[in-house]
Amino acid sequence: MKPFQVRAVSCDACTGIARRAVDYAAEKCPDGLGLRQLSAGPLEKLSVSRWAHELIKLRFPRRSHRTPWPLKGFNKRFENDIVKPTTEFSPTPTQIPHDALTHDQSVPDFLQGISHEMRTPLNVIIGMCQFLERDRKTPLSPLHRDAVDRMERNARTLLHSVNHLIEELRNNKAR
Amino acid sequence: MKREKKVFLVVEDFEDSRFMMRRLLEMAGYEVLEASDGEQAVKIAVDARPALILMDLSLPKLDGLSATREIRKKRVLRKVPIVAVSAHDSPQTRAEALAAGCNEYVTKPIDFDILNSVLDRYLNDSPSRSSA
Repeated sequence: MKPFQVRAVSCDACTGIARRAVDYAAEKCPDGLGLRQLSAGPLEKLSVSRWAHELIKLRFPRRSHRTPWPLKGFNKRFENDIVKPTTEFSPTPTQIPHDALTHDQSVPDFLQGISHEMRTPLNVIIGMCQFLERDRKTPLSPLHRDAVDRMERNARTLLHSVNHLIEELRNNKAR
Repeated sequence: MKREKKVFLVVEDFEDSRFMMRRLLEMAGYEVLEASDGEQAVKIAVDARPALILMDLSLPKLDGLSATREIRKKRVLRKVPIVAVSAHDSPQTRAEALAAGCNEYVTKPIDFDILNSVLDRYLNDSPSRSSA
């Protein structure tokens, strides 16, 4: 059985929805429902039910002409849960804005999402470099110290470039 | 004089970031508890009453601002220093964080020296409580 995998999507809101869809599907269909690459385009234009359906089709490719579930009532239930948040899913307003499903004026969301995706790993790299440089319990040899210095310097340069790029995009959009 | 180990709560949803924060803080001589979402943060804060909380603002389940408000509602945690950690360096998010009850706002990437001076300041202002 091929596993599913959530496609990396370009904004936090979509990723949040995708994760929840998969969590939900996995919970409802525990017998080997995994994750698989969703080859369709960006999620922006898909409603939740449609997205969920795509997900299900991957799980049951030969039966995709009819509703395959264990999933009876899934779409309805799912839309209810996501669009009208319940405590079970409790998406907070910052994670899933109401317009996340239609995604018309989502450029700021998109920018915010992508900048987050790019900066978070860089911040980890920089933080770990600081740790290696300062940890007195296992001090680095001069050569390793130099290497870590260079790693941190380059990570910071990359971070600045990312910040600069995002700033430019934002300004361009504002014009 | 030997410094007593103070317990911090690090609230952060990205595991690698938590790992990084834990290493930096342990290196600085603190003990670290971890929470990966806002709800867990409130629960652990109530149970463990840390000397200080480092709160990422974008979190699943309950975001950092809401979690901070929840924590401030608890009588025993009204004065615990909460340091907001955010990747967004805008006056608006800063103001929101302070309005929600955070004492301080630091931006990522975390500069270890700056973080340390912030922590020192708050810990000297409010010495760790003994557990109830």
